[in-house]
Amino acid sequence: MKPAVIIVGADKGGVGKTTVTRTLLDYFAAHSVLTRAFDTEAPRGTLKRFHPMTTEIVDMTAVSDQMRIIDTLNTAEVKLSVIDVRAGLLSTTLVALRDMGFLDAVKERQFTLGVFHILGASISSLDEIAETSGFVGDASYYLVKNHVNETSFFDWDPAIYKAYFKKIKDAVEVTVPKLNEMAFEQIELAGVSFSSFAANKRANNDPANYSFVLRGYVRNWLSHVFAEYDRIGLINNLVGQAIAA
Amino acid sequence: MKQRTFVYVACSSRRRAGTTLLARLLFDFLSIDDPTLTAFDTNVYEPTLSERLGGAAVGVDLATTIGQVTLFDRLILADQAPKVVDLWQRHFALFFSLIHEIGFVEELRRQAVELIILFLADADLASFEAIRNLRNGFPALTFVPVINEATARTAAVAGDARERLLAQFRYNIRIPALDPVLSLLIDGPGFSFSQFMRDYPGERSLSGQTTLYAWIRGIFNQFRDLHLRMTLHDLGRTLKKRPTGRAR
Repeated sequence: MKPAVIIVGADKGGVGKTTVTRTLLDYFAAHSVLTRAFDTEAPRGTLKRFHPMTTEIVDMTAVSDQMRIIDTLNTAEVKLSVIDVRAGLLSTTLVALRDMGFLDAVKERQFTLGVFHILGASISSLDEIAETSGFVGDASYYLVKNHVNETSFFDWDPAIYKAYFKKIKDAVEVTVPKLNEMAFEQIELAGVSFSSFAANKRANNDPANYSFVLRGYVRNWLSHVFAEYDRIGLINNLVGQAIAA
Repeated sequence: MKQRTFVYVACSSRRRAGTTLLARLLFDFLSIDDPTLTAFDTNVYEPTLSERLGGAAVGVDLATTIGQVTLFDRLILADQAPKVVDLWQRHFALFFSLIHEIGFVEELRRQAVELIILFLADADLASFEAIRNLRNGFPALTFVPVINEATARTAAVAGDARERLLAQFRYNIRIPALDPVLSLLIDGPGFSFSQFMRDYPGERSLSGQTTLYAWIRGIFNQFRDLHLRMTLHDLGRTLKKRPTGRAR
């Protein structure tokens, strides 16, 4: 039974890191994989608003909070940890993980690490790939094109993108499709997980009265996202050993 | 047995096939027995149904999420109040794409709501092919071809071919051609089919009134027959599902 850590981040803000993290938590819940999540938007906590039962708010720049996460990987009952890294802190977090020897432990196969790098539309995202890839040699590295907030990736030259993509061994591309804007807004207002919204439930699991159409959009969108996670073999390749118990 | 809610969608894949006329006829027919019914006009640029019904129809733009919510959130309600949708030809494909995407048909099954697609078909092969493809894509829905004999395209097609194609469907409706003068009358402002039936005989020429009365009555009888046959079919299915033997 090997603990697994998934880091979701980007150095740019507004690319939908928390949205992707929320889909991951929904996906694992749908597969009955117990997960603990860490929200690094201290002290506010965006992720915790949608997944309050599984999420703790931490400050990734504080050593005490780094210890809360990493030092408990082996002892915690829940073997899969998902960390939603605040904008601009992805590189910093990876540096910290390297410096504390966590990346070496991953290399020695004591832990499994997956990095979900959420890409933005600008060319600076491609520079981030080059920067981040230096840390993820022994991790599963996922490059996520997130279209939820209608990112069109318009200023990417496909040839340049391919050139960057090729540099990273075993990088896997993941696409999160666009969700209907009104549906997205309603979920924000409701403050529930995507799955709960689709199932017409409130945060406390009581029946809700969300629009049937918007729920339909969410259900359909979520099924596409889940299909993408199935395609990359998220359960088998990344967290399989964490849940093998 | 829980009483079902009937939702009728008047539609066609072709322009000027007579969907608004069909929707008006249905609305007036249903309003005789049930004043709680609602009509939806999906043509926001030329809301003829709303105009004909004196604003009684709810206008919805299916190209917007607000419009989709306004329509489908109402259609899915199992409130036993019938609904009539006049589907704009330009949103014909969008409508079916949406009901697939949002899982509308699956939800219909859970609710006691019956969606009846009244498809104005020309009697040519292409038109019937379209409705057959739709039926294959949505086997849980009830498809009713409607032949509007007022359209020139329909009248020109050989009757035998049409009958063979119609025989492939459990139900069908025919709207006979109407004298052009009477067509002008029913398209006049404020004309109501149900009101005309209630007021008959009125002050207009007896011959014209009699013809129109017979025309409306013929169509209303088909609606009544359709409703009755669907109810009986549903009852038959329910009885088949029930266990027959007594528990010992």
